[in-house]
Amino acid sequence: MVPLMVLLMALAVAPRSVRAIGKSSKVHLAHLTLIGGKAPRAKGLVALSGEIRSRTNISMYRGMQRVTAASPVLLRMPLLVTTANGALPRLSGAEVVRLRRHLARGGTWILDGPVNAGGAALFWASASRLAGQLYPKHKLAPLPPAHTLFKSFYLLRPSWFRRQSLPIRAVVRDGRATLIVVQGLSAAGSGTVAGRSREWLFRLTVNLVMYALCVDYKSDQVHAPTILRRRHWRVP
Amino acid sequence: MNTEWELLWRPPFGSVGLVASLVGALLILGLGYLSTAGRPVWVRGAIVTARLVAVSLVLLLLWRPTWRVADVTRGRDRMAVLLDESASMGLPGKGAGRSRMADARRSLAGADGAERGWLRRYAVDYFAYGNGLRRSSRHVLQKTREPKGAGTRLLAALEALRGRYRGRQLAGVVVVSDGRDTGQLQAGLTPELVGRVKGLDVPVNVVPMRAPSLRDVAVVRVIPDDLAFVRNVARVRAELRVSGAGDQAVEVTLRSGGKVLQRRLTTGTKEHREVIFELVPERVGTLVGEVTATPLPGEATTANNTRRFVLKVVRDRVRVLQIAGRPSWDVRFLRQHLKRDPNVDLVSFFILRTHLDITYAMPGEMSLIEFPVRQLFSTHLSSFDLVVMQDFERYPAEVGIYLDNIARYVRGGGALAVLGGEHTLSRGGFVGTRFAEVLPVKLLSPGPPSTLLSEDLFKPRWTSLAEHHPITRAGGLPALSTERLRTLPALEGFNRVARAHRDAVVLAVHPTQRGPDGRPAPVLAVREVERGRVLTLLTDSGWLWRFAAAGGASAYDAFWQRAVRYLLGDPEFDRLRVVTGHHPYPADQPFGITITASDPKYLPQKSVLIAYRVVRTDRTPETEVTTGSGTTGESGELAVSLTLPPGTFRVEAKGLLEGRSVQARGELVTEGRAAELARVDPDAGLLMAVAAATGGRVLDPDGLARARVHAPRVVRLDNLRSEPLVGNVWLLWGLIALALGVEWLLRRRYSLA
Repeated sequence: MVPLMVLLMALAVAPRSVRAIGKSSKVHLAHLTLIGGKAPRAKGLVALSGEIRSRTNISMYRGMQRVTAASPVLLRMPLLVTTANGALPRLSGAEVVRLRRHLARGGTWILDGPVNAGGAALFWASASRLAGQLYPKHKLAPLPPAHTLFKSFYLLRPSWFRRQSLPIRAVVRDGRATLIVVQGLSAAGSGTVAGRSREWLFRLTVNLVMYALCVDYKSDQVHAPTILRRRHWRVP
Repeated sequence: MNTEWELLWRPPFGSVGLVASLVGALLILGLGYLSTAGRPVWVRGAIVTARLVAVSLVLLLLWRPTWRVADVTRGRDRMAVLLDESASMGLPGKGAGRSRMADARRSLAGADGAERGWLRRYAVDYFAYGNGLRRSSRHVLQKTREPKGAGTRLLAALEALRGRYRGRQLAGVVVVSDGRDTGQLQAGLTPELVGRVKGLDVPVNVVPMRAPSLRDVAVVRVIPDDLAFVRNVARVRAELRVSGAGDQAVEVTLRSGGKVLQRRLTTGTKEHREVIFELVPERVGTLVGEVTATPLPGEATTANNTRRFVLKVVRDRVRVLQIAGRPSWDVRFLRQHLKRDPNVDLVSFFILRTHLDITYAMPGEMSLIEFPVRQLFSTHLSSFDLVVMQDFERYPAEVGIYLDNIARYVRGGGALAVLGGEHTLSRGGFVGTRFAEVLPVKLLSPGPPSTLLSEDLFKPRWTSLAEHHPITRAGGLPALSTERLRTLPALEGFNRVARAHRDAVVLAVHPTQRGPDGRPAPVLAVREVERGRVLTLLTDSGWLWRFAAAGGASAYDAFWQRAVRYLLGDPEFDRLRVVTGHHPYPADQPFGITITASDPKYLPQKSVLIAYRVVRTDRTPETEVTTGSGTTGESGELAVSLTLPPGTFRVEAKGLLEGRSVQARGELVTEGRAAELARVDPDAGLLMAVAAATGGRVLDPDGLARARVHAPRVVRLDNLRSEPLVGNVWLLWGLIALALGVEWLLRRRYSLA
């Protein structure tokens, strides 16, 4: 703990960045709209970007970047977020091709559903169908508690999300979660969710972005002793 | 001089008149036949015959047949007989206990009669062919006992033959062979090659040598990985052809340096079998190995049971330290590239937050650890082979007091890659430090961000030096070239610097922006600093070459693989190199290798005196086979022609570069008859296809006289005249009238008129 405090004090004299080297060096929560779908809570994503910027060292893009699967900039936005109030539309053939290519090259796609029970049921059914369109041989599955996503920045307890009926499921390809399905992120950003839940959803958002950027960095051996000690030598 | 006769037909209106008159004649005959229905057979026959005679005579009148008679003198054109002298002709032939060559000799002996016939009109030349074409004589060819040619290249031989007779008439060719080809016709006469064969413009007659079904196992090909990494698994794939052995198991052995590395048993009934070996090279350099199939009882030959290969083994396992000022896509994609490399032991440290970031959590609720500045830059720095710094600045992580260590690390032989970003280089607080002194670029003094950063989209312009530098030049592995790099997506934003260091090699510059010195702003530069090497890529958007590039990750991965190998001083990237292929060279035939010399900027260095020697390495003790010397030309290359027996060899070269003696070495393998004998069964189908494409004939061994040839050319025409076949037209008219009269009488007699 003491070295960390020393480090933090040392960091106190550091100048803050005022300018990006280019738009590509910023991290975007690119808001992906599907054909026939809506993109609610866009402002929630802007708020989430602000939260990530204030909590971490990531250079987040300040505005909103909307994309579709046909956008020329799709392959300059490795992190996509699609928000929904209910069922997601079926992917067109062209969307499947372009999104598969995006994910295969290293992209990450987060599907963010609503928190209300009725909408959530429709959302999860459509998300499973959509995952099947992208990956016919793979299914959405819960991530194991020891997955890097739960320790990429904050130490999160997956059990808390289960208890709040906010499951986290993903398709893992080549050791990396490429399609991640969650609920309530943009809702927390737009203020629909309040209190302790909101904070936990913010932390999940930070971890998701950190995971997209660092993948298994926090699974490196050098981090293991610290993480285990802080978790009291228990797997969450 | 001879008198030659030719019958010409001249129907009115040419071929149209010919067809029309034929159709008319058939119609008249058909009507005549139908009109005699119900009459006795002999009556019908007599009437139709009379009409047939009349119609035929009319056709003779219409078609006006004429003899063309010429008194000509013809030249004595050439004919060529080619005998296949490749090793496969030594395999069993059709005759009991006889080789194909013995059968071929008998065929040539039987050519006496044919030749007597040909000799009247042609001069006959004899050739032997295998990998090349050799002039010979029938007498010499008939004495050939043991064919030894290590290859069969029929198409090349025919084209060489055509070249020899350029400007002279070649009337025909006779090829005596088993048809087994190792050249361009190996896969048969493909549609692309048919045109070349037809282009020979000479009938190629073939005499296929046949053989009974043979029992044999052959190692057809050995395909090692393009590159292997030391102490990592590499794969060697061996393709076998098992003939006449049914489902018999075959043992296949992988050896290197005289030691058996692995044995595999291949089973099944398929003729084509495949065995995959896995081996772990222990040393950087070249691994020479061989794959051997244990001979079966009663095999046609064992000369095709062993094939050799060369496997290039690069780089020992390396420790790489990747430190980043913040998480970014550039950091993420480079980390993934390095993590995928089994030979990289990667240690990453990213600064995930600063003191100004408000986490709303206690330290125990986060996974963050202290950035171990002292351990990394003081205690453990020398244990890393390469340090990668991405968007890293001096102050937040307290690196400042250790900057001298990094500079010392580089000068002592360490490798450093510094990648751009919004907080680093001229904005990183490094100006005036010893760290800045080892960089390939001179940094700008602190100033407003707009003077130190650029946000524009751009495609780097690759310099002429990039065409020769090992990171970006064409050729070599993994495949990359400036041409390929030009096709990559545009980068976005770059770090401005004052200029490139005078010792630096600038590989890429900004297409429009210039530095304070007026020169194009550098984007990618490398520099050798005493014993170490440094690379700077002045952007943090290099990841777009992987994520946004059409055709996937190959160029990005190839760029970084090469960059890491260059930074680590891979011998493949030495300035004096012996360039050898990793496929076997043909034994006992001249082949070429290259020794290249380049200057510190990797530009070709001419007039470098290089001494070389070739050492045979598959025997103990190693023996020197040949030596030589020469100077490099304008391209910095010395071409060396070698003729070596089958075996494995090392080429050692020595030269003087900038007054310093430099050595290089390369391994190579030569192979004898194994490739030629990879298939033991004859391929008459190929020969037949060649004959069909050229208008030649397929001949029996004793039927050479039937060869189809062009008529000898006319060298003098003394007299040319035409003589009608039917001199008296009135006689024809009379005969027509007679035939029609007979028909009329018969019809009257039998009430048909």
